[in-house]
Amino acid sequence: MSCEQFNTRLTDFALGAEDVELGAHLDGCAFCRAALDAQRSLLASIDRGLVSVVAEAPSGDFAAHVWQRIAQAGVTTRPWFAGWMPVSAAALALVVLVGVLTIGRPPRPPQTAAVKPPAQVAPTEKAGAVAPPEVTPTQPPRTVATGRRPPRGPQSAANREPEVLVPPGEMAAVMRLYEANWNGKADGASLVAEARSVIDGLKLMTIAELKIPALEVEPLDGGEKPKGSSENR
Amino acid sequence: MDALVGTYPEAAVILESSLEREFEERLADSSALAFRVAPGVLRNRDDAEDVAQEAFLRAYQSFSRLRDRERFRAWLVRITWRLALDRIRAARRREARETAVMVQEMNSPERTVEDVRASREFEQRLARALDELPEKLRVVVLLGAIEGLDTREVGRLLDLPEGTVKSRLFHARKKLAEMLM
Repeated sequence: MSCEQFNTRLTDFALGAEDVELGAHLDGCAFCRAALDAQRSLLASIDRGLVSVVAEAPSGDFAAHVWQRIAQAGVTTRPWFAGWMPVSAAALALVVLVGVLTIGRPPRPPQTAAVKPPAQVAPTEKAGAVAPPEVTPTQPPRTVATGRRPPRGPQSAANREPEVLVPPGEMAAVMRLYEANWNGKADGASLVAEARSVIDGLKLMTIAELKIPALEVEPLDGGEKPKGSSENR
Repeated sequence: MDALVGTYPEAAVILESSLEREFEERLADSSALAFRVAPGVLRNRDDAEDVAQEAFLRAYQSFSRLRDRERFRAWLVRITWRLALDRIRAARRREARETAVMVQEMNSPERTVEDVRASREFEQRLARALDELPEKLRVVVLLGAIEGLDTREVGRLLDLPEGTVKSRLFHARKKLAEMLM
């Protein structure tokens, strides 16, 4: 193998690679040894150059400058969830507030009776009167205007408060009845008794016979006007 | 520290938490490392210091998200390296600065003109050769040149096996030698 061919392996050898064949050649070749020395010198220069590149130390006020930049940038190193903490605290406070308001409500005053609504209520005034209510010792009913969708909820039908469907235009009357019942001025039994007396009174009333005179029609052929015909027709 | 706090009230507020105290320790421990990584790319002291400070600023912003704090130095090296590369790509002002420095050094009475010229010429050629090195080789050869960092430590910083570091170091020096021959 010639010196030129060995020369291509000199750099690796100078860098520490094992090469027995080249080593043997170098023992007897002054030209290649000189080339190897030059290679090692170059590598040493490279190493010195690299060291000089990275040898410098930062200035004495390096850390102060870093803190200055941090302060100027207005950045923080808070954990990622720290920014959400005020929001979370506000949400928690809201939940607690709602809970306190809900649980801490004053109890309703006791009552003797309430009106249980009829099973079916006519949707309009023409549909007729509401059936007489039963007297039951339950919670006072909530009134809901006819046509409105009853509120949905997880309550079962058995646990749900009774509702009264009020025909249009009769809400004020129902509320007055409800209020009288609530304040003890009226109760279901007396109201029913009074209603029955009214109905019985109506049954006893006599209605006078209605007299309707016969209708006189004017002939179409322009004949003699019949007696009793109306001029206004 | 008291002087620092007195100078920068914002920093005083920040330092209240233990997280920031820990960052302060890391800053003291790793500032030289960050600074020395940057000149390998920038070869300008002012730019290098600026990039190293910027790296610490970035590190500070994300410090709480660093789970393994023992990896801080490796993390910082990568941030600094990336910032330095971005800086050198963004601004090519090095040639003008080097010319100015060379004129200044040639006026120095201790060294002959030939010495300075040869030295500067070699440094410039080395700088160009470094620029042409693949990034994965360049960072290894520069970190390996930092005093006190052996191949095992470089491997820890770059999250590489020591054998890989040695191999890359070998190829980096070989390439540099071939380019500078």
